[in-house]
Amino acid sequence: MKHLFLSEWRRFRRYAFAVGIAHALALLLLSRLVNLVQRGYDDHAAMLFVYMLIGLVLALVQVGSYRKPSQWLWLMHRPLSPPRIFASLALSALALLGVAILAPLVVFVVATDVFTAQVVDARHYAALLHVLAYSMMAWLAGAIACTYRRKATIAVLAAPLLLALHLASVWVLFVPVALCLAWLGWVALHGFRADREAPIARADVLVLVALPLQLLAFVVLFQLSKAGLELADLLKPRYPTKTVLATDTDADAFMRQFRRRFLLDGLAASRDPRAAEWRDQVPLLEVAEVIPDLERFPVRHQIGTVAPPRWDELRRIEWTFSHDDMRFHGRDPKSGEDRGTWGEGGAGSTRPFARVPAFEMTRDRLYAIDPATQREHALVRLPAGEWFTGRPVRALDHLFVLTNRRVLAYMENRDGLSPFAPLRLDWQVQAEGDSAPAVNIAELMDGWLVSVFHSPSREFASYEFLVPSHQRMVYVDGAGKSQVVAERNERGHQFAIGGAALVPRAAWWMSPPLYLLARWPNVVLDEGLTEPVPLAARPAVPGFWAVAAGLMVLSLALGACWLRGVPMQASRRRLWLVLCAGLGLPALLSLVCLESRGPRR
Amino acid sequence: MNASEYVVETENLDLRYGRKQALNRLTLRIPRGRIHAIVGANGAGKSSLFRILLGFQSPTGGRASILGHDCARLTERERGRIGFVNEEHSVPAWLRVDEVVAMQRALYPRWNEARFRSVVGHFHVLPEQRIAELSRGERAGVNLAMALAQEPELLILDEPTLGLDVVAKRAFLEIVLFSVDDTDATILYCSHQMEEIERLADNLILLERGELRCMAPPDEFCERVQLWIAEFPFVVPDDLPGVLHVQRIDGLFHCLVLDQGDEFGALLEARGARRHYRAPVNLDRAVNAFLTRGHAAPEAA
Repeated sequence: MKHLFLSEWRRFRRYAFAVGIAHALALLLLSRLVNLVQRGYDDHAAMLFVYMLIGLVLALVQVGSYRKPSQWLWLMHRPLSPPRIFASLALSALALLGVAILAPLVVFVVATDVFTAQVVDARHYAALLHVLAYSMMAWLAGAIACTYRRKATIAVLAAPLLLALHLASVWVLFVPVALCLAWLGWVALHGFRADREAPIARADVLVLVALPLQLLAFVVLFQLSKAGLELADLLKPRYPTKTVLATDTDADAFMRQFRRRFLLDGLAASRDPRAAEWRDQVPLLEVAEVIPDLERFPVRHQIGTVAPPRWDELRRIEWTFSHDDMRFHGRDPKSGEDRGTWGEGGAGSTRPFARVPAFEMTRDRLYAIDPATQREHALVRLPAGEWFTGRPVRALDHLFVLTNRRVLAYMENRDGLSPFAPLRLDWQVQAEGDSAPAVNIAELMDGWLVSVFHSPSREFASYEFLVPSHQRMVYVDGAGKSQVVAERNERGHQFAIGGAALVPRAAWWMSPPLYLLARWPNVVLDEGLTEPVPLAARPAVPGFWAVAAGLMVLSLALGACWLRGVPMQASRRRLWLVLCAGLGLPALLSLVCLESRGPRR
Repeated sequence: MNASEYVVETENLDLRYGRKQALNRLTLRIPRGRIHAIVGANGAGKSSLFRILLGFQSPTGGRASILGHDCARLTERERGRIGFVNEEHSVPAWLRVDEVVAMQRALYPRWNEARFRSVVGHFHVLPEQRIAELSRGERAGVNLAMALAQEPELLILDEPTLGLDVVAKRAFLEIVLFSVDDTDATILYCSHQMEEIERLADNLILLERGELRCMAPPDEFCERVQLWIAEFPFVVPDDLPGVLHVQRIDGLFHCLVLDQGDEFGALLEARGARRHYRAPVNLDRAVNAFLTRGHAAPEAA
């Protein structure tokens, strides 16, 4: 085993060192341009993609070179068990990826940590192991594609991408990453057998190979269905967002008018005797809007950086938050000098933040910074179990705050004595519902008119016509007492803020078990989402029961047709039929991709 | 003969590639010891048979065993008892000769260093040379030397001399001949070169379209094929029994026939031959005639 490992190591070591040196130079160059360690998760995801590509290419070259029958025979016909042969190749790949990817990254991060004032946390070091794990998973997927008779098996890579690549704590993510690594390793191990053309014999290996393919098919089929619905919507002669706005001024005017129209529509169904009077006032009023535009807050030790560093233009200081000591660390980006720390009390404070801040707020606290003294003041503190879902909006002489439970209206401090004292609550409206609401507020002559609008857009994007939106009109009197004055449901209202979920509730009909599996990590992993993902085992639309059952029966029937006359063990046939019946169309697709029909009986 | 004395046993072995039948109910028993040559036209199923025997291909039907073990379930221990050299001499091109040898030496507990040195000595290969720098003949020599140094009970040679020059081929064959006397190894030798088979083989196994046609010592097979040269006034009658091949040279018809005795001469006379006589044939001509009969040809328009 040692010699086979050394053989593979000698084969690629020069390339590994060349890639490693090129990688180190690229990191050095990029670090001169940007603060590479603190880049956002999207930039780091692009880097991870490149590292995974290197792992995949290594597998295709290394294991792919043994695809030729004579080379495969040389590799496998020896007094060494297939697991040990696989282990030799996998360990050599790990060593090569370590040289090409991990070593330059470790040197770079250690050098940044030791020789600069940039913030380097333990999570950055831990993330390096994740990088190596993902590039190794890409290698395993490539090895699986090379050793199994169907190239479609490369889809096993979908498993870690869907189940483990989440913006959670770097320490917590070691569990799903290790599980996915073991999953892919187990599948790859069983591909190393003399007769690689033989069908996958063991039921557990077959299921583990098929499942990622089914997950991928599930996501792709659902997204295709969404694209089809959106295309059909676009082809309609009347489309809600077909209004063409030439300038920003036009857009602002349109939006102002749109908000007033929205309030008027909400009041249309009101039986309150004052509604007619409000309807007369609304066209003359300025309407403030608070939307749930905060998709997530940072989580401590998060694998990717969600919030960018703070920038003090006046003093030319970049404040970067450290997840280790929960304080900001200042640095002059030009000279690289250390400019002290910033705790919860402001510059120079050593008091750590309780949660990772973003946009001058944490999940449950809103701060204000005194630019003169550089003190940080807590303006709003939310009780336990409540958190912000949108950025606060200053309008109508108030500060409007949206949480997962309430809309809060705070009076602006106008006494001038203490502009950073905690704000005084003027009124509040309950905003609990299935989704974070968008709120429109107008100040009436004798109170406030508040529209609380719950839209299913995030969970039912493109499927809005199936689930009604809900608008609740609330009147708040001068004493702060609120009263619901109108309610209405509306179907097909498209209201998009942020990206739609990859596996939303609307996907239930495609395959309920795969929906639950793909959604499960979002539920159990803390990703700091402001709108937590419910697992929702039951469909939101009753008609989904019939659709899902119909697709399962159809998949079972088509699967049985596909397998008819194919020489196959009865137990294996039964397994495929159970998968088709239980998982629906994705299982049928995996059957077509993985099973050879061969000569028919 | 006891079943354990067979190095290879197959029973009703079937292999299909789609609509093509590569092996057709092949039943074969190859006894332990000596050199057994497997001969057949392209597509006769030789390489498919080797792949099944080494567990690299699953048969469509039937069963096969090698050294008494089911071919589909060979363990590393059994693989250590079977050597294999193919026409491509697949050895890692990125390694040096001494590195490859060190790897093989560590793998095979019965490694015979003296035998390796004696065999590789015929090919003037230096330990520090890279495999990629070796000529095809030198690579074949290293490969054979390693296969023999493993002291296998069964050595499978699949067209090992393909592409070798005369000198390398001669050295290769001498080593094979020497090693079979020097060891207890059974050698399965597959080649299209009849002079090699004639020189090496103790037993000839003829495959045709996946079926076993003949298994006998080469001399015995040669005796079954006879060349009859006859003069006919017009053409050779088409109802002569056992005719493998007919060729007209200088007005005389050269007929290669299978399993015909002296009475074939009388038959020729009875069918109008003015004169005739019989001549011996060598293995090359006998096998060629035998295989030509069943060789694929385009359908007549």
